[in-house]
Amino acid sequence: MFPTPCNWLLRQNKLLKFQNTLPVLDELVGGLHPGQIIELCGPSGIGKSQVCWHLIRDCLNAGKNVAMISSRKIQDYDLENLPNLSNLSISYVSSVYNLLISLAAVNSMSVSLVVIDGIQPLLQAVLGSANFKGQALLNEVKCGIGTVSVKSLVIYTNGLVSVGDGNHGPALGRAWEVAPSVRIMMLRDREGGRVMWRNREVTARLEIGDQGVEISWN
Amino acid sequence: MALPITSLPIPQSTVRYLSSRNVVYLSDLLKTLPWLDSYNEESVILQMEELNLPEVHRRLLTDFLINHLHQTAFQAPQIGKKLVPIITFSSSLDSLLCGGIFPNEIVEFLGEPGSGTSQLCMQLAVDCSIPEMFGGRACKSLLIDCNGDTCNIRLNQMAKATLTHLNLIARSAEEKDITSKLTVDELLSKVYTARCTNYTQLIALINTVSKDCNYGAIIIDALATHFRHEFEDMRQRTNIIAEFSNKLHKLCIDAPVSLIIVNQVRMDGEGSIQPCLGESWSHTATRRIFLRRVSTDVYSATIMKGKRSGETANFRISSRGIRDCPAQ
Repeated sequence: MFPTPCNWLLRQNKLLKFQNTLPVLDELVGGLHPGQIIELCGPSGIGKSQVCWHLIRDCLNAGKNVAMISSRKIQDYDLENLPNLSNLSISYVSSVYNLLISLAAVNSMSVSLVVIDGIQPLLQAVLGSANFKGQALLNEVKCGIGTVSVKSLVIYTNGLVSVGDGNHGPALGRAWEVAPSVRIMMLRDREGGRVMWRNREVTARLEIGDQGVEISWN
Repeated sequence: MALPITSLPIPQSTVRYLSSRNVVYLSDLLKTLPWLDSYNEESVILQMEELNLPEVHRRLLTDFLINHLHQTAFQAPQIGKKLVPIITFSSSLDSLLCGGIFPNEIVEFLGEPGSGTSQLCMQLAVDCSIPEMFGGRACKSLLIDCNGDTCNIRLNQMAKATLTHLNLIARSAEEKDITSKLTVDELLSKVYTARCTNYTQLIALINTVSKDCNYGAIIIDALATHFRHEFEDMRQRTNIIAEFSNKLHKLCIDAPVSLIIVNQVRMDGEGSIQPCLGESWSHTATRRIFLRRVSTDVYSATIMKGKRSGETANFRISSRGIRDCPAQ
């Protein structure tokens, strides 16, 4: 990274920023712009991937490029109704090393949005092994994501684990807690609706429809 | 690209050799890295040969680069090739599943004992062998039995009922020709069963199958059986399940297989029903369906995760297999 003048960087960011149709989410995370690393964590089936697909659709609608790194195969019914499919690049990863290589490859592409769907299964396998390499690889991934986030908005999905007393916290341990710039917890409330929390203070409500997601203030 | 060579899965001896040659990052090694459309296996091999490394290191590095770069290359998605789903013979259940079970996906069925999970597994295994002319996949299926619930006699019964059904719906001369030559024996020759008595056998079986998978569907009946009671160390169990889930994902991406996994349920402290195997497993499946027994013959399926989340469909299990409920 060479020293670059601020106004040039701001102009680059403006070029890569895309119009989105989720103003509440924009305010909740403090702005959907390059430089942000957003983690969506929640139990299975709550709609983390749905929010990601909604943002991918917004980005493609604006004519920008999207890179998606996924640990599971993308089905055709996810891809229908997406415009400008040639601006979307997908890479399949099945291990931490694949993820590192993909992140390095994204650096040489100019994309506005990078989505990493399902980061937990990739990193969980390395964390559990008895040797010390696990934490080092976690650090590598953090650095890789940080480098990518300089030019693009990075969103990834994580899972939940129970932290005792019936409480839930993000997976991947204490070392990973500092990885994102914003962490959004998605949970079910008492009536079965879906809520998104930031720092246990600010909440928003999530509804999933056929055309995409709707996020409104609680 | 500043990817340090210590973070690559290559043996220590290679790493030490490279550091002695002052190679710290991967970009020191390859001047032009093959990304995107310029990915070329020959260019990687040529570049590695020019570097004058000792044979053993060169071979390791070339293998690693080709395997990983090939798998993770960025591509634009292509739709258009029509994928044939595996049907369940109940039209309400099929429409709930948006057509059936598609290739390259992992579907998880949950249910209490007696909620129709094993019957559904056997029906799906038989349905894989329906000929293409009738909208089936005509592929081999592997039914991995961990519980002992798979019954060859029941598979025979279901295959006979399928053949009768195909004979009834055959209209054109071509279709009638195929069904007249089709026998139950031929349908069942495409259904493979394997019995696993502990988790090591299950993992070994998946490893063998992953090497060269020519099955169209792999059905694991009751994954939780071997993981619920044998482990004293919960951390070891989580690690093994995490690695197993990675293997399943890789299998799904490499080959056009449908993975159907049946899980069991447990009661948690507050009295509500939770799936077994914990939170980290729950992210593996792309779709999760909860089965329940409503009355003597009638069962219901609810989608917990995936397209059409929250919707329910009813089906019936008769002597012929899984069928629709009769209209009220």
